[in-house]
Parts: sequence; structure tokens; C-alpha cells
Amino acid sequence: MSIFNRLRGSFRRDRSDADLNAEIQSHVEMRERDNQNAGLPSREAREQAQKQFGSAAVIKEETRDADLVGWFDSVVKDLRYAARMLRRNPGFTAVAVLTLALGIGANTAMFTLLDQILLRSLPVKNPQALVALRMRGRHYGSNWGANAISYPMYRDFQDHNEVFSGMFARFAREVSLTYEGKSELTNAELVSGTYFDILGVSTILGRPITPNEDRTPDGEPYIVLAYDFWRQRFAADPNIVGKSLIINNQKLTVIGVAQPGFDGIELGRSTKLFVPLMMEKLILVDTDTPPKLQDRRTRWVNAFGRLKPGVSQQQAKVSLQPFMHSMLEMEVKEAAFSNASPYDREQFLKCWIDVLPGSQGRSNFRESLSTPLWVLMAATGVVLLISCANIANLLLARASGRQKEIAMRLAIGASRRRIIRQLLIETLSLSALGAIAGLIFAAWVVKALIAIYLPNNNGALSISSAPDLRILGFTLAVTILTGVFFGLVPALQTTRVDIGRTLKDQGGAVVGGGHAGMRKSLVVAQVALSFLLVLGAGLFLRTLNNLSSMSPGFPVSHLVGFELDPSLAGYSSDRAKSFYLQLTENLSAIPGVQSVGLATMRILEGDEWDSGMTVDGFTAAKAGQNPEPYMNEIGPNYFATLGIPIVAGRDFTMQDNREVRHSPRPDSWTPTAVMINETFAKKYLPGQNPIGHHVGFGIDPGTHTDMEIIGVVKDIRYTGLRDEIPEQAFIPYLGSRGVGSMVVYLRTASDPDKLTSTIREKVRELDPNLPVFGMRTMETQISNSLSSERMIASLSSVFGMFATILAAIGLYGVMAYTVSRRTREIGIRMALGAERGRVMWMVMRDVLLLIAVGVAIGVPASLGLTRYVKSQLYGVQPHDLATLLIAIVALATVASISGLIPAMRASRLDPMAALRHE
Amino acid sequence: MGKTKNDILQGTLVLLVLRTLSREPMHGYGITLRIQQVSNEILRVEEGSLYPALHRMEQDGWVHAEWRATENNRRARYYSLTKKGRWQLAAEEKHWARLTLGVSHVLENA
Repeated sequence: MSIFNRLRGSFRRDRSDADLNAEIQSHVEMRERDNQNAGLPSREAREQAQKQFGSAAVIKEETRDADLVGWFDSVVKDLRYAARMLRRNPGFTAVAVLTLALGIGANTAMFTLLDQILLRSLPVKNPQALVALRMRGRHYGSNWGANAISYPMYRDFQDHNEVFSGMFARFAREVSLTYEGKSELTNAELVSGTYFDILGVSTILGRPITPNEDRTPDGEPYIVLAYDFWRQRFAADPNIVGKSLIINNQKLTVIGVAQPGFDGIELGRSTKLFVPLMMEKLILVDTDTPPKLQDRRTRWVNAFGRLKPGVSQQQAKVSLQPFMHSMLEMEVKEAAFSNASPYDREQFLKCWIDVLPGSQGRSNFRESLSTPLWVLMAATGVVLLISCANIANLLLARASGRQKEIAMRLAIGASRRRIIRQLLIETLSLSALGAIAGLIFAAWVVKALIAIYLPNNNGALSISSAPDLRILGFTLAVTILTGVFFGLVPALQTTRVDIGRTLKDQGGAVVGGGHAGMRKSLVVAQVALSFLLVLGAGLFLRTLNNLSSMSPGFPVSHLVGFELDPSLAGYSSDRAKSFYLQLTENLSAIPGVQSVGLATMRILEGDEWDSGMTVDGFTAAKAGQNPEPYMNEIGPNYFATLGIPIVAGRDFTMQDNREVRHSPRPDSWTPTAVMINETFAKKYLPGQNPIGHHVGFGIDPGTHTDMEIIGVVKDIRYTGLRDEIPEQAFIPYLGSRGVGSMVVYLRTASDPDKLTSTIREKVRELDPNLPVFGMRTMETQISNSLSSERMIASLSSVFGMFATILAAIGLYGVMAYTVSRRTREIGIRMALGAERGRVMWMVMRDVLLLIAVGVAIGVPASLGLTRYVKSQLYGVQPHDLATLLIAIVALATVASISGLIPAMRASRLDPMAALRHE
Repeated sequence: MGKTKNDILQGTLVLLVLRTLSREPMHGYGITLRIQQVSNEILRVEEGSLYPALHRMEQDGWVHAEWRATENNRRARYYSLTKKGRWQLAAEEKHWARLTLGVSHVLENA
């Protein structure tokens, strides 16, 4: 009977202690009366009645065993019994607990990562009501990353909507922070005055940024510090409010410290300081006209809204469109569109606004980690299943030894249900012990995983390895499932015994032939599941191998890069140019440095900068097919430093430093020279010599094409190793109007790691206040860019190996058991002349059959599942035959070896000894 | 081995209780008396076995229990057979008949 029946029974019938007492009482009284009627004196009548009834306590206990209170009582008894049983078999207990600790620990660790990266909401008031706005469709102007809209549009939405109780906007950027003479690069967040209020985040010191700080452009010099940053960088200074910090060379005043646990709304980028959006020019070192706070052509802020109660995401989306369109209609009439083609206007007017869930804030890398984490979560789940099967197998083996004990208990009146419960409590105790060890193991694993696989994290992603209630809840659920899963089958099997036969069987070894069948099924399941993991590991390893053997298009060794941003220290563009020229000279003088090259974009880091272009001599066959190359702004010797051959024309020189100015607006000025890659040339100037052709930025009719193509370079990769090589164009930074942050590459003769301190020193000599950041070799950079592939490949390999070993152990266990059961039969066969080879084959045939069945189930099941990881594969199909065969051979080999041991033992039996067996 | 065994055989208690209750609802004490009397004092039901058995049967839904007044105006817990209990009785009777038939065959012919 289930616990629910018991509950129902005990509540509905209210079989209380008092009720049972009353029944016993009435029974005793009735007998007492009969005794009296039979002539016994009253005292004797009562004594005898009571004596005859026996111990009321015992009956009560027996009777109430089925009730809830009694149920708990007896559970405690069962627990004690379980503890005794586990202590009596320390070897078994240790193996089982260790296996479970690994299984449960790995699951807990994986869930910790999954939860904190993918599932968790922002630590703010009612995060479910937060939504993010996203412009969809073709933009006209510049666009800064995903989910961006222009600031004027944000203000318009804020003033004209019916669906939000409030909106806020934010933009993240690194700033240079100088405090007590030390400069460092720090994560800052530009926030609107509504940010803290709408998120429901308060301050523990001072006050937050409020709508009062939304008023004066450049005139709101205030800072709110993140709690952790305040503790680490300012030693939790209680008098911090009112103090001044130097941000990008300007004094800002600290007005508050945010509440603990809140560090902005972007996962993987923990904000240290919050600054009013009005300070945009200072924080972004913005020299654009018109400034971004007024410009509708620059989409940059991320806008969020808090839905009014009762308003759904869909309703909000529908409600925002009409106003959105009236804004677009107005924008398209502005001067900025005067040169736009009808096609571009048409496309622009098709833009619409999307409303996305905002409860998790925003993250650039959540999406990229989503599939790997789910895949690994599933893999750890499978490993746990295999562990469970193994322990179930051990329990079944041990059950043979306990058959007698259980038959005895059944014979003296214990119900089967009661014994199953007792056995389940034993297995649940096992899994609970495993879970406790697993939690400790998990905390350590999480730390290790972050250290190994998120090395360029720099503490930006605050993942806590300490289990919280969610993690503990998950572990508890896993523990109970595990205990029931591996305990139930053996418990059901063990209690299905023929009492008489078992008790009479003096040998006590041969009972429950069904166990062998059950154990074989478990082994088959293990083989099938292991196959899934081994195949997955194979596919991921080949993906990693394919990607690592891929060349970005230039030699990666002896190449190091670092970043600088003099604009944050107040350098003008001209001053920055002369600084970079001097720096290039000084760095080139370091012994061992062969070449120095500068660029604004660090390639192979997933970033991109693209721009529409007009090419003289190329007309798009259809509107919308204009060149849109990925751009980079570089210095002379950039290609020489990276080792990229120039296939035609020449490199930039110091003389490529002029600008063409058709209008007074600096953002329309362009350099006079441009270089392109082979793909660009092939695509837009096929069959021609591209040198001497002219190109210009923009795709509007009548675009000036002032930039002359002076050189063509070999194709190299741009965003990452697994992305196609895009068309690319390069312009000289010396001919550019806004020189700021740059990545400096150095090609060295020896190990570049040994030069980093000299490099830092050279920068310090020029300006001690410029923070050097992002110093890493190209090899490290590429290996970092493969970190999620490496994580998935190495972890799935570990899981695959672990699973195979477990399956092999399971197989060994079953075969050893089978051989010992068949000892006598084997002896007879040998006595009748069977050769040793034949006996061995007899056992191995079983082994191979088990493996074959397991693989036969595993192959189609795996092929059904691997297509879900297709997006994680590179250069290998989910149904790749070679990988499939290797996985089969690998698994079959390991499993066969484990089956070979009992087979050899069987073939070496001494027939005479075997015949006397049992 | 001179001692006469009048304990109820393991497993037959349920059968005897079901059969007894099939005539009319009874309280626990009544059941012990009835079995003792009907069996001509050969069988004696131990209270220590009866009440746990009754409780189990109640949980299994074979019998239903309620407090009622006895003929002597005491209160006692009366057990009556449910439909499920009648099915169970039929099954146990059949089982018992087979068992005794088997045993008597052995005693006569072995």
C-alpha cells in the first residue's frame, strides 16, 4: 500500500491511538464479563482477560504499523537497521557511495553552472515583469551591438506608452578609473535616472541615481558604486559618499553604494560603477556631432521596460508598434535620409520593435554557452544513470547473499511491502551519503571548471560554487530519484522468493535465477548509454581537433597583442597618433621584437565592425546586395607583423595620413587609401586588377568614392576560427579622425611571454597613467576562443571514459557471477572432454552477445540524439561513420576485455574441483 | 511431540475471519468466541494475531469497521465484510479446498 493510501486511511478513518485503545479496552472488558459469568472472582476475571489478550503494547505497535505515526516510527527503525547493514559491508558501501558521490557531484556541479548561467533571474524586484526592447529590421546609420535603440527613441517610448509602469536604458563600457594615484580599467554602466527605481534596487550608503540626473548633458558627474567593488577596491570605506574619483580624466563624485548582490544586468560582465547616461560623452569619449543623446541615427542604448500588472509581453509588443511607426515616419523625413535610396527608406520603414523577456537581463555569451551546458548536463545525467545501473547490479549480486535473511523475515510474518521499504531505505541512505560527499565534490568541481574553461573570465562572471537552496533542492531531488531508481528493481527482485526453498537450501547460493536476467538487462542498458557518451565524445573531440588544426590564415606562434586606450586618459586624436608612433618605435627597439603592428579591432575574438560600401565599377544586381565588408583600421606593418602576405599592390605607409573632407562634419571624412582582401576582390571586382579602383563608405546613390585600393592581402579569418572568411577592407589609422583604443601586435623572435614585462615597461615610460590590458599571445587567444568547444570535448571524453569503465565493471560482475553459477556445469563439460578454448568461447559468446545487444540499441538511439548537437560540431556530421565505428570498436574492446577475465577463469577451472563445487 | 496444536495455521487466520464475518458483522472479541465455538474448541485465535490482521484487512478494504452498541449496551468496534472482502473470501476458500485436497491425497496414497 502506498503512503498515500496510508495517509488517506489514517486521516479518513481517524485510527487514532485512543480509538485503538478503546477497541482493546472493550475487548478486555467483554472477556472479563464472560469470565465473571463463568464464576471467576472479579479480580481474577480481569487479570485473566488481560493476560489472555497479551501485551497490549505489542498489538498496538503491530496494528499501528500501517498508520502514519507508526510509519515514521518504523522508518526510524529501518534507518537504524540500514546503518547497521551498511556498516557491516564497508567495501560495498564505500564503492557505492564513491560512485554516487561522483555521479551526484558531477550533476550538482553542472547544474550549478547551468542554473547560474542560463536559468537564474536578476536579483531585482519581480524580475518576471522586466522586458527588453529590440529593434528588428534594417537600420540606417550605426548600430552598437544587439538590442540597441537610439537615446531619443528611448525617451519617446518612455513618454508615450501604455504598457510599462516604467522604463530604463543603459549602456556598458570600460572606463579608466584613477584613485589614489593608481589607474585601472573598470567596467562601468551608463544608466538612466529610472534604472535603480524600475529595477527595485536600493543603496546601502548614500542614494541611487534618480530621474534628477537625466537632465543636463555632461552635467551629472555622479557615481554609484557596486557593493562588491566598494568592498574590494575601497575597503568598504564608510565615508566613501562625497569622495571624488577620476574617471577618464575627469572628477566624478560618489553618491552611493548599491545593495549587496547587485552588479548590473549583464551576465558575464559585472558592473563596478554606475554613471548617469547624461555623462555619455565622458564615458564613451564621444566626439560625434550630433552627440548620441540627440542623434536618432545611432542605436546604442539597451532599453528595458517593466510591464504593468496584467499586461503580457505580446500585448506590449502590439501596443508599441503604431507609435514606433510614427517615429520611423518622422525620422525618414530628416536630413540624414536626404541621400538614402528608395530601397533603403522602404526597408527602414519596415522596422518593428520586439519585446523580449528581460528577467535575466542581457548577456552576450549566455546563448553561446546554452547548448554546450545542456549537452553536458544531459551527459552527466547519463553518467548518473549508468552509476545507478551499476549499483543496482551490485545490490542484485549482494541480494543473493541476503536471500536467506529476507526469506526468514518473510517467513516470520513481515510483509513484502515492509521489506521493500526497508531495502529502499537502505538504498536511499546510500544515495544520501553519496549526495553529501557529492556536494563537497561539486563545490570543488565548479571552481575547477571555471578555472579551466573560463580562463579569460577575469572574475567578470560571478559564479558562486557554494550551494544555495536551489542547488540543494536539485541535489535532493536527484538523490531521491537515484536511490529509488537503483534500489527499486533489486528490492522487487529480492523479495520475490520462494520462502520454503530458500530456507531449506543449505548451500544458499543458488536462488532467484531471474537475477541473472535482470543483471544482464542492466548491463545492456549500460552498454547502450555508454555508447551514446562515447560517440558524443568522439564527435566533440573531432570538432575540437578540426578547429584547432585550422589556421586563421597566418602563423600564430611568437605573436602577442595588448590593448591601450589613450582617449580614456584625455588624449586628443592627434596626440594619440603621435603617442602610437612613438610607442611603435620604442617597442620595435626591444631586442627580440621583429615587427610591431596596430589595429583597432582585435580579430578572432568574436567582435565585428562592418560597413556598407560603394565600389566603383560594381553595381548591385539587386537592391540590398551592396558590399558590406568587415572593417579594420590598421597601421603600417600590421600585415607584416601578423605574417599576412600582400598579394598585390603595397602596404600602408606613414604617408597614408591624409583625409578627404567633402563636408564640415568630421564623421564624413575618409582616408585616401584602402586595402582589401582576396574575397572582396573576387566578389566585387572579378577578373580585374583591383588596384587603382575607388571605393567609398555608404551605399546611398551619389556616395563619394575617394578611397583608392592600394593593396590586396591574402584571406584571413576575422570573427573566429569556425566562421567563414568574410570580405574585408582595411583603412589606415593615420588617416583617421578619431584615434583612440588600439590593439598592439608584436611579432617576436623568441617566446613572447618573456617580453611582456619589458613591453609594459615601455608603455609606462611613455605614460605611467595608461592601463595596459588584454595582454595575451595569439596562441592563448585562439585557445580561449575554443574554450567552450574544449570544455564540451574534454568533459564528454571524461564522461565517456567513466561510463565505459562503469559498464565494463558491470559486465565483469555479471559474467563472474554467471561463471561461478555454472562452475559445476563447466566442470562436467571439461570432464567430458570440452577443450579450454571451447569453454572460454562459451563464456565470451555471452559477453559478445551482451555487447552486441547494447550497441544495437545504442546506435539508433545515439543517432537520434546526436542531431541535436549539430550546431556544436564542426567539420563532422552527427552520423559520421568513422566516429561511429571507432566508438563501437573502443567500447566493444574495453567491454570484451572485462568479459575476458571471467572467461579465462572458467577455462582454467580444475574439472575435479569444479565437480565438487557446492 | 505430545502437545496438541490448536494455534491457527499461518495464513488461515484471514480465511477464518472472513468466513466468520460473512454471516454477520462482529466485533473482535465476538470473532474469537465464534471461531473457538464453531471449531469445537479446537481452534483458538490469538488476540495478538487477530487485531493486526483485522487492521491489515481494513487497510486492504476487505472489511469495514464502525463503532456500535452491543446487545449488552457496551460500545464495540464492529467489522463487516465489504464486496472486495467477499471476493477475497471466495478466493481463499478455493485455495484452501485445493490445499486440503492435496494434503489428503498425500495422506491416503503416499
